Amino acid sequence: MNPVKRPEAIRKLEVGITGFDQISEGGIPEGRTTMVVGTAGSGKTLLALQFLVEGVRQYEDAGVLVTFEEPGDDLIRNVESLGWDLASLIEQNLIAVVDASERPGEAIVEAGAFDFSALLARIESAIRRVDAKRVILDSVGALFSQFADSNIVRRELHRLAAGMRELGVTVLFTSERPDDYGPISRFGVEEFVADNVVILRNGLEQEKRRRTIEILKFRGVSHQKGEYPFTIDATSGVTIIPLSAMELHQRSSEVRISSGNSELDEMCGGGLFQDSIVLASGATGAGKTLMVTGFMDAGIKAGERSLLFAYEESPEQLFRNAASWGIDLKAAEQTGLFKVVARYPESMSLEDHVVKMKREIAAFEPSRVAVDSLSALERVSTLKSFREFVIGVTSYFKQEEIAGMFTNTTSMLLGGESITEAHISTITDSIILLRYVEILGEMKRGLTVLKMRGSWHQKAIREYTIDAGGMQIQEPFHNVSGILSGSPTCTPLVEKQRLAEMFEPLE
Amino acid sequence: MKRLLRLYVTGRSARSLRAIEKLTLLREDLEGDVEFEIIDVLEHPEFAEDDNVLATPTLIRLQPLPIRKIVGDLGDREKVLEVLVDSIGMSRRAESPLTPHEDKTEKRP
Repeated sequence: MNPVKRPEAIRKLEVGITGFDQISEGGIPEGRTTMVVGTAGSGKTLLALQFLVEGVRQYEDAGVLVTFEEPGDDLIRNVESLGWDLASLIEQNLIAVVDASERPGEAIVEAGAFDFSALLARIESAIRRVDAKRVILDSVGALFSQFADSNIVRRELHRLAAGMRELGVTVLFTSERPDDYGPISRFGVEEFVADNVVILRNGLEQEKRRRTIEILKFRGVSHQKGEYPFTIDATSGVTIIPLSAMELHQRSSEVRISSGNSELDEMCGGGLFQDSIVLASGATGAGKTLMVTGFMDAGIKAGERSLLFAYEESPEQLFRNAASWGIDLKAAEQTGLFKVVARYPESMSLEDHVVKMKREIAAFEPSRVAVDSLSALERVSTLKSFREFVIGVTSYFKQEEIAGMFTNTTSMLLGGESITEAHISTITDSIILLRYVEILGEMKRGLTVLKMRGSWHQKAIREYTIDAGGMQIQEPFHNVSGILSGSPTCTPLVEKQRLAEMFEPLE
Repeated sequence: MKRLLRLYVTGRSARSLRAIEKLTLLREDLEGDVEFEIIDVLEHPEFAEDDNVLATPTLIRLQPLPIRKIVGDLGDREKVLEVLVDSIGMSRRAESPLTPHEDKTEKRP
């Protein structure tokens, strides 16, 4: 007789998929069964396989792949494009395959009672062969089509899960569901088998596909709640963007850096903070790209790496513009202090943009990053994913202590605000407004620091001009009001005096 | 023509023993030389792997082709014979007695 086992606290097994361990607060429960459900094409199989492959790669955990749906050879071929060489992992006895997929022409006839002991014996033998810690079953839905009585299949799956639990392995199995929102899975497997349920969704929202992952339940342990966007790409498979799960205790830097314009630094109370995010907002032609160029240049001059994500102009255009303001970005690019990444916003989904941006940043290790413009990205997304995108990017910047500058194009020439402004103003640390000001039939430009988190800043609206030397900030506007609302009115001095004399002081 | 039937069982479970018993009875029902094999999946999971057997008991008609699989404790004798016997080379003994030994089979839940 074995001594009675004391219940142990449930530990978690790190999955090794980017973002997953954050939203799951450390991985999936170890030694338990976790079900991954999703509609067709939601990425279940890939996620499961990645759990296996990353186990080998990062943690030296051997694994067993049990396939019910696709023949093993097909699965191996499918993931070759991701650079996963399953065949060699199998050769090295790091992964074992139990191919339980239906073979063509082999119909099964049922005559009497049966159980899945043979399957369990096969899995057990595979586990022992490679000394596996991780097991995946993909997808159990296929078992229901092989056997007529789904009650028996459910009962046997339950037994299978119990059998694997005794072996101490952590099991991930996939199951189909008919809809993104509805019953958890077809055949109601989850009630019988899974301690934990993870849902993958691939919903259509305003004509755009949006993949999300949600941890629905982890029995007995905590996890982050809600849906998190994720991407699937050819280099890293599944990447989860763990937005709100990101830690908010970023260090706050007191170090000031130059914005590239000494007057503007002065207006901000001595420069921008090293780890702050600045939003420069203005109408087309107001000088946003100029501000970004100056911001990049200041970094380059200080000997720091600066990275620019351009979504509106090509590198050549940017270099030409910069040269016209007397800034040689081309030379900086050659010395390796500057890099520009130009992409069409429409070339991929916003989630993919995030992943690509992070990859560029991780490779270049800049201390300054600018995005010109953020509002161009707004075009290709829904409001929700745009907001998530901005949160994701800004928190990444903060985590890496990168100074960021975003630009935003307002739709109206005078005054006005855009969706970008309304939605991300609370996320950014500083906001600089660039506005056209029409005074007595003449177009002037005005600039103001609307917000500067953690610091005093000048409240005045200053006039500025753009010439061959870049942006020249002049004196504040006098006797003009209503600039920000888009309807500036001049108050002549005489009038001002008259107003002052309207009231008589009380005796 | 070779005739080969292979029965997969799990150890000495009641269901397995019942299937073995039914298989012995089945010998009487089939004409000519039929080879019988009994494989315990606990001892030889690799055979189960090669034959892609999930459930036990499973009876496989390996020869003659095509491969036929019958899952269950073979309680339903008529059904078993129906699957096994066809014109290709396995036939039923003419004087096959239809003894009611299928009555003791386990009822499925």
